[in-house]
Amino acid sequence: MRNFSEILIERSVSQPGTTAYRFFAGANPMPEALTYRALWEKAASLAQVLQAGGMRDQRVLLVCKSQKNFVVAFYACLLAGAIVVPTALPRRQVLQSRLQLLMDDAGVGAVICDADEMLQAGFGRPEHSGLCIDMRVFMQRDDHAQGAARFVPPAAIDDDAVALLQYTSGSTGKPKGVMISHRNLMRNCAVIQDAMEVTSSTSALFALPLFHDMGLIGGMLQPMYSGCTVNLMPPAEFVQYPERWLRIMSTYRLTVSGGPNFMYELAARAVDDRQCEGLDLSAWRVACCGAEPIRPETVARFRERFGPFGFRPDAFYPCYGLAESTLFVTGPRVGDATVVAERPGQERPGVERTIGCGKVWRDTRVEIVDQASLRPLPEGEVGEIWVAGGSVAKGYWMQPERTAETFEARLAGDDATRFLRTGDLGFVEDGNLFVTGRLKDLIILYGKKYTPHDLEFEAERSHQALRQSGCAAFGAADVSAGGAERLVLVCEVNREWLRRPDAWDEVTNAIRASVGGAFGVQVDDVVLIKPGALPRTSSGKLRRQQCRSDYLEGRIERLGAAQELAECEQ
Amino acid sequence: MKAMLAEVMNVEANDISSTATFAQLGMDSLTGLRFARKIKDAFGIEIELEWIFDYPTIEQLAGYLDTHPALQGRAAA
Repeated sequence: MRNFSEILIERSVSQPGTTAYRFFAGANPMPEALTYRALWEKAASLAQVLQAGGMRDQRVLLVCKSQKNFVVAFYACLLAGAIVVPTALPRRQVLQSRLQLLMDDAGVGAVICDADEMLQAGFGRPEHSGLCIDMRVFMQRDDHAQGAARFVPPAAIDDDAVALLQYTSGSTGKPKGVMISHRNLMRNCAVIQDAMEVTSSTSALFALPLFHDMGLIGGMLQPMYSGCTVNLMPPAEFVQYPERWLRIMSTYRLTVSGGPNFMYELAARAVDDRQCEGLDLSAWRVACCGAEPIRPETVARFRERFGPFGFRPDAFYPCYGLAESTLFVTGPRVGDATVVAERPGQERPGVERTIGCGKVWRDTRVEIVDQASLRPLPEGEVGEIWVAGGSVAKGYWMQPERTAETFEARLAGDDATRFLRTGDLGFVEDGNLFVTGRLKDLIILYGKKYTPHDLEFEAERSHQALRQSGCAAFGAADVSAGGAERLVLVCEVNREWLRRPDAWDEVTNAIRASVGGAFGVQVDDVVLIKPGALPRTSSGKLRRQQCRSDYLEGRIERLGAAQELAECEQ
Repeated sequence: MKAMLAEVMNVEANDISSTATFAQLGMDSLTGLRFARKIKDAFGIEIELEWIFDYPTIEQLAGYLDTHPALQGRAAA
């Protein structure tokens, strides 16, 4: 079988009654099950609609709140030979602009959704000149079987054709859609199968967003690849009821689950003893952790909390990956002890502890490269992480320059191998990869990536006191909070507002409300500064990393700081 | 509500003003969701995350919830 359409069709014929997906949602402990046959029927019926609408090779935007709707629609797009563009429903404050930007960049021909906000925003209107499918209406129909009977699989789909566009971050300015081919999907699922020892008797649970790499590839596609049932829960439900994650793992004796560091941290802190009664997590063999830096404190806390309830210390599975390489790049062997490397701190005094993210599998190749010479560095030295292999995506949609920069890197003196420059820093020791930092300016909060420019853009517009292009956003590790990344915004204030200290609180609040409203994230520290005080290059470009170092080393002069100090000294 | 918010945000309830915005207090979508759960457990009302942005202070949110049908006939918090 060469792609996921073929896999789904095959399973619907050979194991029609077997459960492919179980959806847990809400207080009802009984999940909704979708068999391979039922999934195929609904997906094929919808695919027939997409085909009739001319969607072969066209981009289809997929924005579904319901996980079941999302799964059916995703496979429908694959069956129809359309290119899926899955994305989150943006916050209301920015919904129109964000979606429009994505739709324009991808050249979307159809939209599949299940929320009134989408229809109200006009995505169903004719001037958007495309098909708009409301999944709530579609799923209510009782003629899926007949629709599926009318479906004719498209003529041969090229393995290297684009199956999916992953927009990782950056929705103002130029968004970047990672082009993932059918071959990429198959290769990366094979890698994950090997690394995590997935078989048809594996049973997994994920409470992750299905539209991003970990939830999409790991949660939704990989189990289909390996022919095992997967249980899915909405991530918001996990955040509100983390005890349900553990309870389902226990009740169903599930063997694989995981997510970003913050999930383990939240579960360890928020689940109380009463909620743990009767928990038995001993079947949990692989507790994968990735998408954001993995913190030793979190690992320890989780093991301590749930060890008494059967959680195996060797279950912890730290891994590394990124959408530009489909998902998975490195991971340990199942059951390997967690390796922690201790190094002198890069940014703060003391020792920095980094957890090893395992080794490469199958055809994946990782090199640690010196950026200046483009030569691989010796073991133990920190450099940029480069990746090669069949999981590396084709590039960014319609962006030949950025694609060449990021996906066509070559080691000095070796033209043969095409490498992905990840923008992450790390070193390798005894075959184990350690991720120590980031070259790029991306900020990661709760496992999600944010482009500084997006945050700065939103902040600048929040109050007239703020200067255009006068904000810098970056992440700073909060050592006191156990090292979690926190968001800092440094903003230049217009000259006239320097004389209005009574208004500075209002400006700060406006920034917080605006960034919160647009992204659902909180700004840990808003620093107001004088106009022109941000560090820039001679051509006026913001030097974000310099601003960040200045902040971390206490060199930034906040408005009002000198005044407060003077008052204290009186 | 201050007590619930204090628990979720990991601060002292006394330090929370009824008129400070949730954003000022450092709420994000994660803590917002957890706050919504506490409200649901206490008052049986399903909060939409958007309400936290629409009624961004304790005073405003409490005021809005007071009008909610699920709370009619019960003492307001």
